Amino acid sequence: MIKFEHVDFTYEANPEEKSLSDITLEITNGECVLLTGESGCGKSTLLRFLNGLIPEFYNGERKGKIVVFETEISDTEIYDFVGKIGTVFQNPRSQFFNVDTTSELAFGCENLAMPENEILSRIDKTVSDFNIDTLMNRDIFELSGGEKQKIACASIDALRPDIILLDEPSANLDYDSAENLRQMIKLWKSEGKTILIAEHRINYVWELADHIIVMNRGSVVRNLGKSEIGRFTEDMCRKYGLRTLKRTSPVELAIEHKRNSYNNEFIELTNFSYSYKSKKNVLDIQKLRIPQNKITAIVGANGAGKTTFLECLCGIRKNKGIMYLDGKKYNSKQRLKEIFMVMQDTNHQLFTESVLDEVLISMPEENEDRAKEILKEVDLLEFADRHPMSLSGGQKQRAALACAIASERPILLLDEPTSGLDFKHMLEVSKILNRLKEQGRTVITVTHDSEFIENCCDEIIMLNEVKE
Amino acid sequence: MYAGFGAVGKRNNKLDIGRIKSNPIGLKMSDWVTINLLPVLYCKYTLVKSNLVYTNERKKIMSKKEKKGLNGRDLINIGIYSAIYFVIVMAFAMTGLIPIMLILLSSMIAIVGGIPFMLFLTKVKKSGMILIMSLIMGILMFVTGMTWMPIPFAAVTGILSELAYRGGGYKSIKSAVLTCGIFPLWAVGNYLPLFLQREQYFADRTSYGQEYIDSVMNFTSNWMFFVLVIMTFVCGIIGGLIGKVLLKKHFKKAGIA
Amino acid sequence: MADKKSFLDPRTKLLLVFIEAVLVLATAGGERLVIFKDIFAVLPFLLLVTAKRYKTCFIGGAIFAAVIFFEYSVFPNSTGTVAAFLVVIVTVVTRFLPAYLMGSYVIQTTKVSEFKAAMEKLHIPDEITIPMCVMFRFFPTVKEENSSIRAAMKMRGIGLGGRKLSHIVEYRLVPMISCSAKIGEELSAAALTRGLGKSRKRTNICKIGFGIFDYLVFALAVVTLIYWILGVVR
Repeated sequence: MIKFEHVDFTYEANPEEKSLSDITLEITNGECVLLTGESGCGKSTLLRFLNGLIPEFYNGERKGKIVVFETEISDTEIYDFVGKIGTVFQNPRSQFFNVDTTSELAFGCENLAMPENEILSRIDKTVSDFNIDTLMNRDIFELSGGEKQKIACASIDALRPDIILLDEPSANLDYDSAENLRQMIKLWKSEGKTILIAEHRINYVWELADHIIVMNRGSVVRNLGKSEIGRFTEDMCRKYGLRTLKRTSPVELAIEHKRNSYNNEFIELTNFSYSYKSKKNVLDIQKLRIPQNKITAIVGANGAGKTTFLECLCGIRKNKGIMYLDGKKYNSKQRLKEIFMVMQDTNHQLFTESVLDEVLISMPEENEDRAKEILKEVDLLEFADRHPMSLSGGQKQRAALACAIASERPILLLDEPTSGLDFKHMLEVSKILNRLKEQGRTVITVTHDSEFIENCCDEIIMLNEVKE
Repeated sequence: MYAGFGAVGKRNNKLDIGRIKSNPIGLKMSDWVTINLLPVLYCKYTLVKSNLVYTNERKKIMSKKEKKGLNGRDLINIGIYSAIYFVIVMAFAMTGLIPIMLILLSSMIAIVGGIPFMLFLTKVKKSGMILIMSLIMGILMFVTGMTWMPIPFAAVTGILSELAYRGGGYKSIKSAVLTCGIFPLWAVGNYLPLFLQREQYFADRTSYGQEYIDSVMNFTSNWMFFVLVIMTFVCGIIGGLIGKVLLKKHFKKAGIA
Repeated sequence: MADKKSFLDPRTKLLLVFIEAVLVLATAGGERLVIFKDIFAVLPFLLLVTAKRYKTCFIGGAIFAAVIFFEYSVFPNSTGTVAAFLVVIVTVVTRFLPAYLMGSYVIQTTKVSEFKAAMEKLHIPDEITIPMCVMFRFFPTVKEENSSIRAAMKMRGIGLGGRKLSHIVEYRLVPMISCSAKIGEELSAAALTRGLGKSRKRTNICKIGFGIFDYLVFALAVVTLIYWILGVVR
């Protein structure tokens, strides 16, 4: 039984905004609860109370009472709940403490000083339950994002906690990995664990939830029990700013999509192939045509080399592929100047002191007025003097897009631009891309977000995994 | 091995142990060793011992809420910033393969290292963190084959850095910059083998002629050591000042500091 | 789970690094121990081969051979500053290289979990072990961040060459530190929720122990030591 009674919270780092206002909730044992709402609604904050990160990790002013396992939280520390509450976080890359997978599974148990035999038998059971035998005894750095997240879940499972918290666990996962995650949550549910999931991407867990809590700006706006969940419509999702309930795989969309015969020009790509040391022929494209002045989505299963394709196209990765645009031939080095790429992790691209500087640096010729115009277009003018790293995820995405606009390059590549974004921000990105299209640019985006594809993409291309 | 060093005794002390007739190591080095190393080891020993005593006492007295020792988060922070520091420092250290650069190496490390180190200092609010980082650098030097000498040397420089930062109450920017000057001295520990045993380096190379030996010996005379220490300290201060600017310009605004 | 025993126990490897350092680098023992010195100078190359680190072995061997070549053929014929230069290079490399190679061997063949187990068996306090394990785990992350940032800079047309030093610092160093620090924060949170605290008893499933090769190394070390002590005493 988890109880929140009139809980208020304000982060020390953000004193002007109340993150939680008068939250009163009750969660029964064994329930699978979905917490959702727009960005900043407070769903992650609720979870942080339960696993103890507030107040040990995040300082702030707190009011109200929270009860878990019949104890009040203010008397406890993170360590007290380690074997009883497990948390899976958003970023697969920053959750693991060890370098090899087997040690990672043992990590939590080792910290609780369980005897070695006990730990080994728990690992065996978890490996068979989750079917991850092929992932054992491997270097975690070599795993894909979805596999890393699997290991994270497995290492929590080894602790056999009664309550499992998941904080936007699918934000960086593609469609198939999200399905895998769904299977794991289903397994936990069948074991009678209490599960709380904070998510934007609600479609893959909607049917598993017994209890859905919709939040907005720190308050609970809807508290749905099992019977009401069935009656929640797509329109109500729009009303509360939630993402779609429909579960469509991007590959399905690609197959159904009818190829339009555009009268426009094409960008033609020939001979794009790339091999890694560990994996041969990750990319092997003989010929590909992408319509100009349109927004094209690139979809495909994980490992099909989508990010590699973008990097080769952009010129970051040296390769022998040739691009033909407007009758001219471009090799890898020449393409660097014609293509702007917004990467999956925008933190890698933003490095100046202020958002305005970031835009100015991207311009071929610095022009402050034009820069401010661009910021206005992406709705970031009020943040012009803020440090880019202090922005939220959605704002960083828009800042990177502002740089793309400022660069005046004809082709724009995007790598998963909408992962982790709520409905409103996804629409904003679509709007900006459409405007770029009108300005005569070509947009190519790798994405697994079906809602985003349906919203603004004109063309879908599927990259197949190259079979050896 | 220490039996050999210590048993020789101080030269001025007429303590002749008698049995020892010939000593291939050379008295001069053992002078250095006994004068410098034993006190250092003693310091380290007392520090470790007092830390143990402190830990035991703390376990008895402190209740859960009053944890003043280093907790899990502090230890993780030390690890993270050691990794960042070491990667940056090693990137520049690779140029040390060129002999001229070898002399400048510790100074270069001091300047570039100052930047991540200043950021690390904003996370240091308790005693022990700087010392542990210094010891880790020493251990890393040992594991990469630079002998064990950097370890006690780093212990001493680590303690001095702790005192410097603690003197400013873990808050003052001035003491932070000062600490940035003292901390990189761990790198000077790497030069110790060169200075302490230079006779051995050249003893079996007399065929090269005395003048060659003399010119190189000039480079590695004792006073050069102190020049290196001072150079490193000054460069550390410079690194700290650069770090201070960057803290203000970037890290504080980004919310990382 | 099958326990994969490495060739040598991590503690033995540390002992070897120590011996390398003292014997070859610091040349303790002088003339008497020349044979042992040579044995230990060659040892890293052998070990690297057993670990299949042929590249490191080869490069190390090439440098060593080149330097010895300089020592015996070029040097006697050169004069002045060139000779002084060469003396320094020759002595530095012949002294430092075996120890450095031994160090490389240790680093490349020891898994972090083995290292942690060895530290615990040696009763080294948590305050040192935990930060070191975090550090080793974090090295690849810092390098990944660095290469991502480099790629981003390349795309935006901001290179290193010919630019002011302050640019290099601000455009490469600062983002790398910022990104790494942010990941570090997330890592802390995750590790804390999985029970990482100090001064609590912990178990370790990684098994390390001494095997026959370890005893061989010990035997060699003891023989060297005895030989040395005999030389000192007599």
